[in-house]
Amino acid sequence: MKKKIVSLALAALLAAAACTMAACGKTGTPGTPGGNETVDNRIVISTVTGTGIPQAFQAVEKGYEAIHPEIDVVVELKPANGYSQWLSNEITADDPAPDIVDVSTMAASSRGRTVNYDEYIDEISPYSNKPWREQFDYEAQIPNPFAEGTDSLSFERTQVVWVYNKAIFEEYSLEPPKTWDELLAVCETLQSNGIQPLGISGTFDGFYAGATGHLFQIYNDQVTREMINAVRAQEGDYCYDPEKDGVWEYDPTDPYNDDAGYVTVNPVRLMKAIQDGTYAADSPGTKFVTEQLHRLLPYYAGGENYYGTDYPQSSFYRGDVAMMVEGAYAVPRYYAALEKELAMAEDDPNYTLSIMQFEVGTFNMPSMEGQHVLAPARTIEVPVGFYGIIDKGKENTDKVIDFMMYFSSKEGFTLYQQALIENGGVPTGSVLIDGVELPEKYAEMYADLVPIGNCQKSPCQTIARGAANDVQASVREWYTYTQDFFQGKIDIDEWARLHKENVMKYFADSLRAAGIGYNDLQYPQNRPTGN
Amino acid sequence: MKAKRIYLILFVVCLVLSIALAVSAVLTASDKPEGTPVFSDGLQYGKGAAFEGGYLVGGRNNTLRAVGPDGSALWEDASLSNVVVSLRVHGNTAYAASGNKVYSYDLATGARQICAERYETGGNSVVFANITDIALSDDGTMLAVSHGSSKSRHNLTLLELGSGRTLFTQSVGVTADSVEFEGEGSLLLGSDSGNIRRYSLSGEVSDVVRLSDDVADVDVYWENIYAATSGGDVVVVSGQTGEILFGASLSARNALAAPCRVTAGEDGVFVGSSDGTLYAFDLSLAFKSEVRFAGDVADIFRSGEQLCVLVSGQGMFSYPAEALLRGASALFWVFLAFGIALFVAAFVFLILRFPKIGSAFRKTGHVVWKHKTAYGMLLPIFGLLAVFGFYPVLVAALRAFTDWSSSSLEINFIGFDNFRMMITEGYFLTGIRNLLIFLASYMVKILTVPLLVAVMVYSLVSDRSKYAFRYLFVLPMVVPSVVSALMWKNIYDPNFGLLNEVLALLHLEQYQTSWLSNPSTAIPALIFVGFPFIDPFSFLIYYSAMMNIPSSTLEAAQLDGASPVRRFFFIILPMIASQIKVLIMLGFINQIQDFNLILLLTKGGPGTDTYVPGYELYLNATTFGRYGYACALGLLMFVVIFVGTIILNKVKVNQEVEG
Repeated sequence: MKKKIVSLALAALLAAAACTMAACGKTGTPGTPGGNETVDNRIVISTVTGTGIPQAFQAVEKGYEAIHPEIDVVVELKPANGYSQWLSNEITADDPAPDIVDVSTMAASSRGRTVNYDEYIDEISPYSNKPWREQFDYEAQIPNPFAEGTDSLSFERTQVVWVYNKAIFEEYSLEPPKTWDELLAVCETLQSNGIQPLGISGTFDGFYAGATGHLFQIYNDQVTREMINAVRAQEGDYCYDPEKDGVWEYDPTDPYNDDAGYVTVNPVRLMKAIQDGTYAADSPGTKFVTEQLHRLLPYYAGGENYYGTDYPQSSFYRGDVAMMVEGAYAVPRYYAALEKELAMAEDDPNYTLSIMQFEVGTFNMPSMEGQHVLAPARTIEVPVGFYGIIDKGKENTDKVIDFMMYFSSKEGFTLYQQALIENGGVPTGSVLIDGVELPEKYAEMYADLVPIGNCQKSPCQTIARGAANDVQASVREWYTYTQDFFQGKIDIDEWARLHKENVMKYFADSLRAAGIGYNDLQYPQNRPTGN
Repeated sequence: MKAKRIYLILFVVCLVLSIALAVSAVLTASDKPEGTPVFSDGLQYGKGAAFEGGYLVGGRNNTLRAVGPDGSALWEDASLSNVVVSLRVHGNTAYAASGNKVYSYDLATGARQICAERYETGGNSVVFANITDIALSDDGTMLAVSHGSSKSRHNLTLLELGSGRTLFTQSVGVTADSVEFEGEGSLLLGSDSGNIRRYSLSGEVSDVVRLSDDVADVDVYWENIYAATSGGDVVVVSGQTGEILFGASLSARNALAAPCRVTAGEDGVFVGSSDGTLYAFDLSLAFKSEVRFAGDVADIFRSGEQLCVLVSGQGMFSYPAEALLRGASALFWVFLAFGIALFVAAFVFLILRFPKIGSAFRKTGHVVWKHKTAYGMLLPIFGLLAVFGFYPVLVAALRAFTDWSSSSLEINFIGFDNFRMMITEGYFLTGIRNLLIFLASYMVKILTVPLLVAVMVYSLVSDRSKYAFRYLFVLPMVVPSVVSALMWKNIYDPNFGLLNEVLALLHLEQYQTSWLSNPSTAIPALIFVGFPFIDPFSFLIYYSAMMNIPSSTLEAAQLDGASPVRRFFFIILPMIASQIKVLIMLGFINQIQDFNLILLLTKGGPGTDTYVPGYELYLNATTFGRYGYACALGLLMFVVIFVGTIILNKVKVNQEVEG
C-alpha cells in the first residue's frame, strides 16, 4: 500500500513537472495592446567585454542605482568571439534579454529592432539640465541611413593607424611612409633584413572584422569617392534636406565632405547604383586596390603564416614584427602590458621579459596613388562604443534612455573611465563627453594622432567585402576567392568576375536587409516600402 | 445477423454524414465575404480615396488616376515626381500630397494646381520638406501638413486654404505618419515615438496617450480615437480622457501583422495590414473577420457602405462593410456539433457490429487501468520527449523544404531548392570530401591504438599494475575537449608553437610552417590532434569487454600452445567483436556531426579547406541566418546516420571462438 502511495505521488510529481515545463516560455498570450506593456525594473547591459570593461560598467551601475534605487542594472558582458552570432540569436528572440548591446556587429537586417536615438536626442537630460544632444558630441555619431536615424551611440573616438616599432625603424633608418609605394619599400627593407614587416590577421575574422578587412574598406574608399554623387539625396527625394543637400558640393580633397552633417545618402539610390552597375564591383579601381593589397599580403605579413595569424599583438610585443594595423589604442595597450611585465621583473630578478621594450610610433594610412585614385586615403576614424538599445516597447526604452543619459553624462562617464583604468583597461581614444578629459598620460599618447577622415561613413566602400549590408554568406565567398587570389590560384580578372558575381548573387539579400524592394528601386525618390 | 447488418449500415451512414458535416464546417469557416474587384492591373499602390463619381488611386509609379465605380479610367496625372502619400477629398476637389507639395485636383477634369508648398516660420517662407500626411478640416478651409526631412527635423504645419496663411508650425522632433482633424477645434498627430498628441488650432500641444510602438495611422469617430501601431496593435482611446478603452493585438493572430491603415465608422473598425490582411472589428474591437490577399494592403477607405481595399500587385476590391462584420457563421458550430455527434454514433455502431473491436478497446483500457501508475509515470516522459525531441525534429524536417531565414518573416515552400544548393554552392561538397577523410582516420585511430593498449594492460600480470595503468589511461577523459583542442592550437601556432620550436631546436627549420593555415598541412594537423590517439572511452570499452572473457578460455588456449598473437586474433578479437561494432557505430554517428575541432582550430580555413557538413550547418544556422538550408543539411545528415546505423546493425558479428 505504501509503495502504491509513493508511486502515485511520484507520478503526480512528474506530471506536475511536465506541466510546469510545458508552461514555461512563451505562453502565446500577447501583452495588453496599446500602452500597458509589462515593464520590469532591470536594465541589462550586454556589450563586448574586455580588460577593465566589466568593472567600468559596474561603477556606472553603482552610480546610477544610487540615484535610482528602484532600477536594477545588470552587467552581463559577452566575449568578442561569437558576439555577433549571440546577438543575432537574441535580437530574433521573442523576448530578448539584453537592453544595451554593441550594434557594430549587428547585421543590417536586425537594425530595425533597435531604438532610434533621434527621437530622444532633444529631450532635456536630467543629468546635465540641457538637451541630451549637447551632453556629448552627437554630430560625431554615425547615422544609419537604412534606419533613417541614429541607432548607435559612442562616447570615445579612435582611428585605425599603422603602429610601428620605432627601434626597428631607427635601426634601418626608415621613415614612416606617406604613400603606398613608400610603404612597400619600407617592407622590402625590413624583409630583406630578416624582419617580418607586418603582423596582421589573415583568418576569416581578420578579413571581415579585422585589419585586412579594414584595409579593403580604406583603400576602396580612395577609388570610389565620387560615388557619393550618385547615391546622395536628390531634390525631390523623401530624405532630401534642402538646407543641407541643397548647398552641398562634391570636394574629394576634403575628407569630411561626405559627412552626414553635410550630405544625405539615399539608400535606395545606393542599392540602385549597385544594381545598374554604376557602382560596380569589378571596376578598374577595385581591381587596382586588390592588386595593390596583394603586393603587401601575404608576402610581407609572414607568408603562409598570415592566414593562420589571429592576434599579431604578441608578435609585435616581442619585436618579431615591425608594424601592425590597429586602433590607436594599441599604443597605450602596449605600454600597459610593458608596465605589467616590468613590475613582474622587479619582483622576480629571474623573470624573463616576454615583451621587448621599445618606443611605439604611429603613422596614418599611406595613400595609394595612380590613375584610379580619386582622393587621399582616409582611415577608420570612428566613435567607438556602438551602444544600441534593443526596442522592447516605448516604456522600456524610456527607462533605458534615462540610463544612457546618465552614462553619457560627465558624472557617469567619469566613473566609467576611472574604473576602466584602475582595472587594467585603457581608454580607446579621445572622449566625446562634454567635460570629460583623458588622463594626462593617455592624452600624451594620443597627442600625435592626426585625424584624416573616416571612410566607414561613406557608402562607397559598401561592397568592398562582398555584397552590401553585411550579408555574411557573401562575406564568406569574398574571403574564399580573395584568399585564392592572394595564393595565386586565380588572377585579378577572375577575382573581379567572382566579386561581381558574388555581389549580385546576394543582391536580393542585401535589399531585404535594407528594407528595400525591387519596385522601390524604380522610384528611388520615394520612401521604400520593401516591395 | 440482421441486427449486425443494421449496425453496419448505421455505421457507414453516420460516418459519411459526419465527414460531410466536417467538410461543411470547414467550408463555412473559410467562407469569406465576397469582394467585388473594381480593377486589377498588378501595379504597386500608395493611397486611395473615394469621391462621388468613383475612386482616386495613387500608384507607386508616381501617378494619380481617377476611375469610375466600375474601374473604368476617368483621368490620370502621370507627371508627379513622387508617390502620393496622402489623399483627401472635399466636394469636387481632391488634395494629394506628393513629395514636398500638396496638389489640388478638379475631380471632374483632373486639372491640377499646386495647393501648398511653403509655410511661414520665423518670418521666412520655407518650402515643405518631405510630406508624410495631410488632413483637411470638415469645412475644407484648413489643411494640416505633417512633413520633415529626417526624424529629428519633422514639423506639423496648419495652413489656411485659399490664402495659404500659416496658422501655426510646430517642431515634432520625430517622424509623424498620421494627422487627423478632431472635430473643428483640434488636430491629432500620431508619431514614431508612440505618442498621439492633440494640437489646438493655435498650435498648443498636449499629450493624449503614449502607445507601445510607432503610430502607423489614426482615425477619429465620434469622441474616440482609433489608432494602429506598427507593432501590430489596434486601440480605441477615449478622446476625452486619453484612456485606452479597448485593444486588440493583430500580431497574436498573425506574427507578420503590421497595420498600416485604420478606418472607423458607425458600423465597425477596419484595419489594413502590410502582411496582406484586412481585419474587421466591431467598435469594441471584438474580432469579426479577416480577408487575406496575395499582396500588401496599401490602403483602405470607405465609399458609402462599401469598404474599398487597395492591394499592391493586385488591384482594388470593394466589400460590403456589413458582410465583413458579420463574423463567423453560426452554421459552423451547428455543423461541427452534429458532425462530432454523428462520429461518436458511428463509433458506437462500429463496436456493436464488431464486438471484437469493442472487446479489444475494453481489454486495452483494462490493462492501462491496471497499470495506471506505470503509464502515468511514463506519460510525462513521453510527453516531454514528444515536445522537445520529436516535434523539433519534425518541424526541422518540414522546414528543410522552405526558404526560412532570418532576413524574411515569411516562410515559403521551395521544394528541393535547398538540397540543390548543397550541390551548386560547393561548400557542402568540400565538406563531404573532408568528412570522409576524417571518418576514415577516426576509424583507424579507434581501432588500433586503444585496442593495442587495452590488450597490453589486460596482459599485465600484476593486478595493481593493471589498475594503475587503467587509471592513467582513463584520466585524460576528465580534461574538457575544448581545453585539449586549444592546447593543440598553441602547439601548432606558427609564431611560438611547440612544434615549430622543436623543429628549430632540431635544426629542421625548413619544415616549419603554419600548420593550421597551410592547405597541405591543415587536415593532417587536425587528424594529428590527440596524438598518441589513446582514446580513453575506446580503451575503456575494449578493456571492459576483455575483462568479460572467461579466463578459463584463454588458459585452455594457452595450454593448447596458442601463441599470444593467435590468442588475440582467434579468441579475444571475436569475443569483443560486438563492442568493436558499437564503437564503430558510435564513431560513425559522432563524426558525421562533429565540428568542434574545426570551430576551435581553423574555422573551416584556410579558405574552406577544412570545412565539414556539421560546420556548414552551424554557419548557416548561426551566422548566415539561412535556417531552412541548415535544416536541410541537418535532415540529410540525419538520413545518412540513420541509414548507416541500420546497415551497421545488420552486420552480424561472429562471437564464436575458433578452436
